[in-house]
Amino acid sequence: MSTPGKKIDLFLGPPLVALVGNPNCGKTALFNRLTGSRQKVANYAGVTVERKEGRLQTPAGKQIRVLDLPGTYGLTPRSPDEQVTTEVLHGTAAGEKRPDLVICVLDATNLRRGLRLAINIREIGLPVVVALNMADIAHKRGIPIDVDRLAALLNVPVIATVAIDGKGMDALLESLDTPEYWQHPLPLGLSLGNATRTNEPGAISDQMLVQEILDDLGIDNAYPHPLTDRIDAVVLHPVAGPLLLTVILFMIFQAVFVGAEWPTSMIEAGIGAIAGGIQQIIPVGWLQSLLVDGLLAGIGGVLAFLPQILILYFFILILEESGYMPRAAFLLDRMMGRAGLSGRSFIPLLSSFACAVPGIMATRSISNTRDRIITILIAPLMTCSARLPVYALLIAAFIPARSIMGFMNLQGLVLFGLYLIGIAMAFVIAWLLKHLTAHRQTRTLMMELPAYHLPRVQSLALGLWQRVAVFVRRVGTIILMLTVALWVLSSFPTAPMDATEPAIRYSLAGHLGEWLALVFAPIGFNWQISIALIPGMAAREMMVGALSTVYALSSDTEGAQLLVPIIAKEWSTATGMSLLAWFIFAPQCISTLAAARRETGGWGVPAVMLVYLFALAYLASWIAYRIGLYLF
Amino acid sequence: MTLDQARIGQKLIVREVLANPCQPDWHGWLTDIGFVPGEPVELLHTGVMGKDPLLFRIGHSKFALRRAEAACIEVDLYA
Repeated sequence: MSTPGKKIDLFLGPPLVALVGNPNCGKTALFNRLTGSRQKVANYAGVTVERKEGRLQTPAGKQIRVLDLPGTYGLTPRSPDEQVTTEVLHGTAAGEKRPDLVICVLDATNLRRGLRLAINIREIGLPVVVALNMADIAHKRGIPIDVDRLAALLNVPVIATVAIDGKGMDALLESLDTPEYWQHPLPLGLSLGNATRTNEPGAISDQMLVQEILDDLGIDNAYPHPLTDRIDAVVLHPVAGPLLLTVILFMIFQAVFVGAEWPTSMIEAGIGAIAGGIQQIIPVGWLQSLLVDGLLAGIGGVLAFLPQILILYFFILILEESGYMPRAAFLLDRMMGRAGLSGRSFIPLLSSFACAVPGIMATRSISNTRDRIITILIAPLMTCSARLPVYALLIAAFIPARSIMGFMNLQGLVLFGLYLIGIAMAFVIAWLLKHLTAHRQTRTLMMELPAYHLPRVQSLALGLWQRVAVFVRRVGTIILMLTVALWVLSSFPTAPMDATEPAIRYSLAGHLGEWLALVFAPIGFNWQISIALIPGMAAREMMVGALSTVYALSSDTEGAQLLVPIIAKEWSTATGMSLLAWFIFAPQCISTLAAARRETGGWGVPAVMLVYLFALAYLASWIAYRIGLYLF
Repeated sequence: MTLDQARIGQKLIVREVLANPCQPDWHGWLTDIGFVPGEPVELLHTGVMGKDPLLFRIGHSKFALRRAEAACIEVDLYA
């Protein structure tokens, strides 16, 4: 049947099984067990909710597609993620086939909540197989569960599983070979039966059904998790908690910046060696330039970020898997709340210190749309690592290496200050946006703090691989294309034979730079800076290479070092300060804008981002320039 | 009393999730995450100086709520 005017989707191929469960019930671990590495990560149509599909083969040789639906507490959606789950289960999601069978994953240590979901899914007429996960932990905590009895009460197959060590997987796979399990579920085996239920007082509610099952199984009391409680006593302590969080953040920061130094320089050296090879083989000309300055520079620009991103994701995954992440959000909720954000904005903002692009991608976990958009808008104010080479150059040229109070270095202090200004401005902007979008709505928290888990090596490795693959595919292609496009801009038209100035001056980028120089004259930028800002649009650190080119130096590391004395001599200190201020806001990273467009599904947010960051950068540079002129 | 008035360590039982004066969606959400009549609930932690957010043990799980959310939940002392 089809609704007139509605697109009909035809789905051929193997049957589709959906995995559904509460968050933190071990659903993803089960999915990984069932499908191994045969997974495809993409997005659901029209929304930025991650879609994970895999394949499996049953013992009888049947091919099955498995969809890992976002975790949900019920069929009353609270976030875009839960919306997807509800729509897929109802068969109303665009471009998605309605599942042929649902594996409902229940956390055996928290049956009450899971049972409600299982009953609701049965009710919408989908065949259900229950995977009773973490049955071992429940048993250890003194909650033995009679699996056969539960199956009789729910009138669906129930299989005890332990996803993390693979117990029960064979039984689960075998159950998919039983044809009658693919039929519509039979009525519940309960005395309250299948009467129509409402939330009206006196009516039979879901809770009453769940209660009957729990009573029948003899499960009722709360079973605390003593180890988690003891850890939480420290982690959530009003004094010790924030201290611990600060130490953890500091260590992650150190690891990201110090740990990535060596692999990044190896990658850069490798790219440099390849570039050298190409220069030997291919004669000087546009082809050599395209390969070296366009293509290789682009690939290098992507790869140079990989070590930092890997290390950052590694720590984020550990924090997520262990259960610490929601605790951090809990501790920061009040502070973020002052600026009109929730604790959940914290992870995306932390990621943005490496690069705003993965940060913007990480905003998906924020359920409130307004919070999410504000977080995306302020993410670029976190000083990303691409700005470090620019800061390093400018600080070396304009800030004397004087020691302050005997133990602090003025250069280091300035760098720290630049980070702080970015963070402070982010809070100011968030606060302003909160008051401008003055619906004054109360935002919900309702965040679960799951029991602590020791992270598993396999799931860490798989998660790391998937995230890096997504980053390289989505961001890598953008950076690569932009680098080549900007190479075209900076190389054509070519310089005349009798050229006295560097070639870039005669190119399109050069002309653009001259025009930009008029715009930037009030904030002290000369034409060299203005031209270098254009390649800097692809990735900010490319500005350093571009400056070297403009000053007719080679664009490698040595070139950058030679640049320090040149700009220290040629530019006024006020110009240096102005450019430093500019890069706190640095609105011209196209990858960030592209990521914002992708994540919000329109040009509105990236347009606002570009305009407000540009305005702030201009204003800050103007102030810095005036102060610089006055002081020096 | 409502849950936002709970003291740390007090053993409470959910009586009902109020439809008023709370936001329309909250009833369904709070029920979905486990705030159902008869469920034992306990305040475990608060933010600095007893301010938001509040951490509750509800049934077998821990949930952080804001005070406004907790105010939608009517509770009784555990006898």
